[in-house]
Amino acid sequence: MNNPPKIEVRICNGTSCCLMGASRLMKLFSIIRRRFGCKADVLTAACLGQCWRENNKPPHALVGDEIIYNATVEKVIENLESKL
Amino acid sequence: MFIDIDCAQQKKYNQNAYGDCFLSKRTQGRLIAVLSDGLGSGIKANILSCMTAAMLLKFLEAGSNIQKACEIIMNSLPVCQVRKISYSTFSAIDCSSDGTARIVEEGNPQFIRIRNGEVLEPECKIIASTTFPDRCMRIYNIKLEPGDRLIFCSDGVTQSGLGVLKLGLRREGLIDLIMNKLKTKPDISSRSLSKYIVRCAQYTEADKKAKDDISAVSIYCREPRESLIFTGPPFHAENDKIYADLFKNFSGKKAICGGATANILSRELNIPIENQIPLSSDNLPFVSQMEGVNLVTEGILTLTRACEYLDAPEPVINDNAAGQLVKFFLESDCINFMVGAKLNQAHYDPGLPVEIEIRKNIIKKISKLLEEKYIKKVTVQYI
Amino acid sequence: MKKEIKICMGSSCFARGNIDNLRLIEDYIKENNADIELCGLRCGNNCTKGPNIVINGVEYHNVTQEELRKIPEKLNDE
Repeated sequence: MNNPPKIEVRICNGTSCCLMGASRLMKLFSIIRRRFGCKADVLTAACLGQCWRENNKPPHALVGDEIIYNATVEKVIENLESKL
Repeated sequence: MFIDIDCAQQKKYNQNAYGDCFLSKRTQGRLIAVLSDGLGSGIKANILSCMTAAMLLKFLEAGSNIQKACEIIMNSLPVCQVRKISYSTFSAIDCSSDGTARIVEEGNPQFIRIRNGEVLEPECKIIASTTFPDRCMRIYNIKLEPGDRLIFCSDGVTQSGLGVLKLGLRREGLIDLIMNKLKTKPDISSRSLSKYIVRCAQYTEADKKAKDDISAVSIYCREPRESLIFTGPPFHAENDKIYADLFKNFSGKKAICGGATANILSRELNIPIENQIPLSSDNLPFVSQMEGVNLVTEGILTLTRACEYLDAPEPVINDNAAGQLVKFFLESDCINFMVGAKLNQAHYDPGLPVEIEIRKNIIKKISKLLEEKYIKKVTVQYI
Repeated sequence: MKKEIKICMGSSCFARGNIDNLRLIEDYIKENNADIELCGLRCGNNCTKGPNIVINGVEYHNVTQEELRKIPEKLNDE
């Protein structure tokens, strides 16, 4: 039986996101690997393109194909768990 | 053909100011440069050499004939009553892009010319001063070809090591030094070679302290190392294609500074952006990887930091994104910026913790530094 | 006693004649296979009296090329 594809979590590394706390989200690298290692992958993204919209609330993260605004470690984990 | 020029210097060990002055400029398709050694050392020598170099450079920049300009300076440089020599020396070069060069020397050690691993001794014309007996200058007319190297220095180099070496390093010793280096690194940049010469001269001393101001200027005629930097999305989205075409048609190193910019190129050229596990960053976003692109970084924050690094007394090259960008710049001769004029409103959100520089302005600052401090050739295009 | 020539290579002496004096001395040593120890000195603050050369411990000032030709005698005086 094939394993289901891993869910990708991408943390935006763009200008606004960096200034608004993307570095705090870097903890997700170790947390997700530890807790969801075989089911999820964590990567950075050069720009998720969200800052170009009004009221976009950085930092941004992408869990699967859903954007998280005002992302925090807790929000991302919660969203990831709901998808697994 | 590109004329790669750089100067490295070391102050006399107990002084606060450089007693030698080097100035250089690219203007109207020419490269002009002056090296002056001020009498004595310290602040006085600094003022003397700076004045001499600045005056000569201004003359040359204004299009004066180099011989005439140098004669004027030679005939008007006052003499020190104690030491009975002129207040400063000078070496000047005026070189066109086709390689025709005129060189004038007064008081500095004779320059060294190297072609294909051999030292050439060009002929010179001697012009005596009309106001001071025993003072004269040497004039050379030469044609530079790709691969040629010229080395100028102040006597701090040729006289280093007096006491350790019987007669100091001397021009002969300097030639040996350079030839040995060229054997192992035939393509060494002017920046590296001039630094190497100064370091060697300083370390020739028994206590490794510079006993005089040491300056070495290296000129290297090479095929230019071209580079292209994309930063910022084009103002009109329909011009995204232009980015892609520019990218494909450019043969040289490429860098992308900006996430949105990287996304555009990634989409247009079908090159994925790989993001590695983040390493230490110094509060800067990490670099990414794209095939065919030498460096991919975030935009404004990285550019701003790179500008600070370039402005530092010694340019900062380290492992973070800005340090890598500085390395990218310094390892190029001709740097072409392609600046997208689209503004990201989010950058000017008053809620942001810092004020973000406008892209155009930071690129202007960086260009100015690269041109004036690092004597690179820079073009900036807005789209 | 070892024959010794010390020549000032400070900017003043060097520019005012010692650059040529040095060549002359070196040529002399080579042509005559002379056993003379030759070394350079940093500026000794005697610029007004230069070009300065020390031969076998004796200081010579305002050394012109003419004067220099008398060097062999001076060396052999010892």
